[in-house]
Amino acid sequence: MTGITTTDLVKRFDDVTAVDGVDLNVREGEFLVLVGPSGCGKSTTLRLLAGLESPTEGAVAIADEDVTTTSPGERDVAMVFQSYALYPHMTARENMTFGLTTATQFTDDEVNDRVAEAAEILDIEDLLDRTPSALSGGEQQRVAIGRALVRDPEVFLMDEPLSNLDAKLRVQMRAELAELHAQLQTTTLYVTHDQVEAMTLGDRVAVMNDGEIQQVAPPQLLYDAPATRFVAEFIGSPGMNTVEGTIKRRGDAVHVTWEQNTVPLPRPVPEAVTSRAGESVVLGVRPEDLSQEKRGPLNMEVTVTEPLGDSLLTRGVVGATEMEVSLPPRSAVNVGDVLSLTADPQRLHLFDVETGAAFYHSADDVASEATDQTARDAPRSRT
Amino acid sequence: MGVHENTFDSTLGAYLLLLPTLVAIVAFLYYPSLQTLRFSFFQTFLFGQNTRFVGLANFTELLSSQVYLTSVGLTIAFAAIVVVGSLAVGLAVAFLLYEVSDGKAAYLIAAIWPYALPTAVAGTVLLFLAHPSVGIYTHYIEAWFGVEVDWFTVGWQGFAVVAIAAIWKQIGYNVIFMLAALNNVPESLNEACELDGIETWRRLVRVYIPLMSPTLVFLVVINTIYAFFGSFALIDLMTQGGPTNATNLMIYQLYRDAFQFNNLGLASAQSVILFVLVAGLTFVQLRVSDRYAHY
Repeated sequence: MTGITTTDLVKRFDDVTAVDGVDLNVREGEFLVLVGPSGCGKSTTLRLLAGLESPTEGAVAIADEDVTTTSPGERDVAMVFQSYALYPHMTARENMTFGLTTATQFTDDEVNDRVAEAAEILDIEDLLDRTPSALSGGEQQRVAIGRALVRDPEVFLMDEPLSNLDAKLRVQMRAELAELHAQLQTTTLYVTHDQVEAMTLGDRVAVMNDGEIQQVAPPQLLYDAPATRFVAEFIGSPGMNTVEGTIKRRGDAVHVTWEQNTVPLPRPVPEAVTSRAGESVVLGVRPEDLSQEKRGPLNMEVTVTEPLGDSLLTRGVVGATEMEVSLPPRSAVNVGDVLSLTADPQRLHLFDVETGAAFYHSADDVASEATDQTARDAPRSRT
Repeated sequence: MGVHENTFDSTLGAYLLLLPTLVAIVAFLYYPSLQTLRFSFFQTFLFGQNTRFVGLANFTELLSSQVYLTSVGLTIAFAAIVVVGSLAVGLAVAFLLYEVSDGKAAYLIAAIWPYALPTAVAGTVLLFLAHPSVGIYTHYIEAWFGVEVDWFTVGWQGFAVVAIAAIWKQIGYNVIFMLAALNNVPESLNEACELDGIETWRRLVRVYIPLMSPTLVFLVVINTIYAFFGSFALIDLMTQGGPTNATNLMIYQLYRDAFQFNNLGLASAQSVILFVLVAGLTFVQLRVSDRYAHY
């Protein structure tokens, strides 16, 4: 099988730990997206897989073969760079064939066939005799992907390949990449800081922060049942609202309260929550899961409104905490208004204050699924 | 333009500001050049105090002189060897420096040290390193290559020693520029090469040299000028044009005619020929490279 496995991968640069014990398993044929904020170690992880950096500790295996000390050229991986990294003095065709004609034993006919095939897939047949300077950004990126395609590698590694494109082209190329992967089924690891790109492209998404993998899950599960507070706040646009409160228990009813605000949890409340009665927790609720309701339990004073067309994103303060709520478009809301809000009881999340780990998702079905997923993919969690 | 700025519109003021530069250029560049051109049509005596117009006689004399024509041929051969040699060695050294990771600074200093030496010092050092009887390299060269080192009397050896000295002196200069050009190659291209499994020397030839081509064109021109003019001190110190005129390059012949034989008219004519030759070569180099250099 041609997956990628990393075992306890650590990379330190002097006293900075860029990658801190990453166990990642990219399955054969899978499109796995590694997402995280700038400086979280995602690109370093990719470069460790490519062999452009050597790990301080840990191991990398590609197709069940330990390649930790193998040189990049012998790993049978192809990489697409953010800057495209095309050779400026060569034509598109030469760029695509350079690695093939120098480092491999293909005959000229085979090389030509491969280029023709890749060019057809990427729709760049007419551009093959131009140099990169005569190509637009999107065309250059196609050539760069073509260079990866002709090598027919075990694994594609993509380092923010769409970041240099303008917004419209990025969306278009994103769809084309998804199509390409559906067609080729080559194991792909894709690094991005853009969570929308991550959600739309990934079979599964790995969220990374401070050199550690926070969660690896299919996009919907990541959104529905974030494993940590960081994932909750990072995934979604905008991310989840989080607020520190206290669990209060009155008979069967359990609430999370902070200042004058109270959010009831739906019954039955599991033991994991009731046992923490009186303790501080972090409550998470997505802007999409808040709505206006007369005499609702939350009062928000509006500070900013952002009409997005399909919704009206409204920012304000609930007590002393800044929160965002996604309201129907054309809602009559003005800055300074006090809105009465309620939270969807089936869409509440609780996180540990200290570790940030989620211990409760009010929608039961996702909770159990999330546990399964985590058990399968993250044998070791440091959080 | 800001509210408080006024357009400077005094033409006289502008010329006044340019005056110091204009004076220096005219006094030290244009006037001597024109005088040289004028002198080349005169026969001169007593350091140019007595002159007689002879038209193109100086040029016809030079172009029909076997000694001078030999000197022209020698100079062109010398320039070709020095340009190719200093560029090739410089490129090899620069590339090794680029690739090495430990002790880079020390190697870099070692590589550019000869360039930091004044030519006269470099020539003197080389003179003693390769001296036929007391040179510290002489014994090894004789032992390993089976030649008897005697470049004080054997013509081709003298020529070779001066050429090696000129190359050695110029390497540091080339290395600085080449290393700067190599460092301009984007890191992602190196990584693309690594992933493509391109071996080191192929990478140099197929990727780095094309990307360095603007710098290389510049260096070809500068090294050509150096080879024609800059070798004077080396020759004067090491061989004085000998043995048997084997290192009598144009610049040295010119010097002798001007300052040893006091024939300023003839020397001026040689200056003009040398200038035309180098200017023509430079022009051709730039023209040709326009087609190949990747800017």
